[in-house]
Amino acid sequence: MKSIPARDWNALIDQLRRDQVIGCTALEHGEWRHPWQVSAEWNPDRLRWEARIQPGFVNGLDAEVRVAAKDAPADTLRRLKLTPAKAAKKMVDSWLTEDPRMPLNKWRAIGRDAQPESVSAVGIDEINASYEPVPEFFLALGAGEPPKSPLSFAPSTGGNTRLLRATEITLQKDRITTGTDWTFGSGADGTFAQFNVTYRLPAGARKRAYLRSVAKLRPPAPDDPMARLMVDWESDPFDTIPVATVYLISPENAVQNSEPGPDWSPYVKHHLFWNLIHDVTVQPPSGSSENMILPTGLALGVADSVINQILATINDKNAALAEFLGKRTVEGRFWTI
Amino acid sequence: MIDLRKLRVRPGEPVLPAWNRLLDWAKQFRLYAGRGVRLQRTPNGTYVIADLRTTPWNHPFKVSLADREVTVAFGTVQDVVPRIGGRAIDEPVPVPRLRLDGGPDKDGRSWVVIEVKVNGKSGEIDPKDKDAVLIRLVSNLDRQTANVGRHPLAMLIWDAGRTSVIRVRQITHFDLRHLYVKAEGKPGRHIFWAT
Repeated sequence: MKSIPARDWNALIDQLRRDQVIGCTALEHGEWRHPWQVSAEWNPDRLRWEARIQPGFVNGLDAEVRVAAKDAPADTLRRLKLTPAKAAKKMVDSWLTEDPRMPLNKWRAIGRDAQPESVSAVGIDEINASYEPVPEFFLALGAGEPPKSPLSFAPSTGGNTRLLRATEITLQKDRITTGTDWTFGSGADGTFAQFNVTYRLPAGARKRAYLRSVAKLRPPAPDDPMARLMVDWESDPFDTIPVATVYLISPENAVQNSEPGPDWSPYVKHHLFWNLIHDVTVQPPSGSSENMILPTGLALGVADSVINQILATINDKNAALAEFLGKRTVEGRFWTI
Repeated sequence: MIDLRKLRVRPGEPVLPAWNRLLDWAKQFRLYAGRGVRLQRTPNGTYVIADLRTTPWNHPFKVSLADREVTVAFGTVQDVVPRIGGRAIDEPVPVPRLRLDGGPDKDGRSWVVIEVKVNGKSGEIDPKDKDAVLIRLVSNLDRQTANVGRHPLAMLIWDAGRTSVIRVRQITHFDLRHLYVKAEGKPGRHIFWAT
């Protein structure tokens, strides 16, 4: 055979036509879905990607999502006794059992058009940049690699031209904070310094856990142990746990830095599968405080120098204070039920 | 998967070897229906219908709604089988049931809960006390006493008229362990976790 017969050519075209998928329907029959299961969908009315989340519970209560009242489910408005007119520009907290749609509008770029996570210069003509790696799964789907240099957006290798975006859905639970401060006074034997540990439930703290969408999850930096003892310090007023990462991958040859649209494809990586209990390590009443009094013998001392002397690392008082605070610091924990 | 660049031909190069590679490559696009999947083929393409029929998961403490009653599947707390109305939940027919008495809270929610009673001194569940681990229906999750800890199994969602339950949302999916933590000068804490 020296040529391709038209019959063979057309047979191939017909086969490709027949086997192209023109639609897909998934019929669900009470399929079991785990708590916190996320499905991402494009909302053609609001022109944005949204997450629908299978109700998950913390301490027996379903978590809530903050949404614009105009987009809130009817059950939420009924519970809050809001009419559409009253609700015009309000934000409301919708419970997951009311089936809200969580707007996903904080995306980070990964791959071809990503911003470097860090940049360093070596000499005057070499710039090194590090990027969040593209998950292998998306490389196989055609997502492009990050640029070689932060000064160039040219695709590095291969012909992968799809763009990748990601957002993190996190679960937060408010809790009481631990704070420290110093007061000074005159004791019977001279001056004393008082180290106070105070507990406070911040105004606006929510009883229910709540979901947020952030472009990137950054674990809080660990507190400097000395800073906790030295100056006025307060712990974070909430605990956070990751729920899922939602990825969107673009069609081929998408324009760099473009916003995700309806022709992008969603994928979800889950991190949380079960309902939770949240509790704290110690349960002091909000507004209460405990203190440790340290005689200094330094009448009329300057506060900073007195504290510095007490907290000198060779000073036994430093260790005693650290232990005192360690036993009284409120820390939150999540666990599965 | 082949490298698509192998399908290319250069000007003047015989096209037939590439054509054969193209035929091989095109075979991968043939659609085959797996379990629960139906394909509706048309000359212009194929429509995929996935019928995701799954077997139900009968996990511990699964709460089921029937008329104005709920039943709770077998599960244990600290290896103790809870009781409903004086009968252990694994007793045979008639299956122990909780009647939906009492109604929901102001937001139309109530809960099926486990209540665990401990000996105030030892902090342990009394094995001789048949009512030490009970399943109850409550409209307030918070109410618990020093010796009795409360743990939610499922949330019941009532209709707007607060007359019937329209949906059960399961909260607990596993057998449980329980620990009572005593506290000086204040009520102790009941801690439940999955096992």
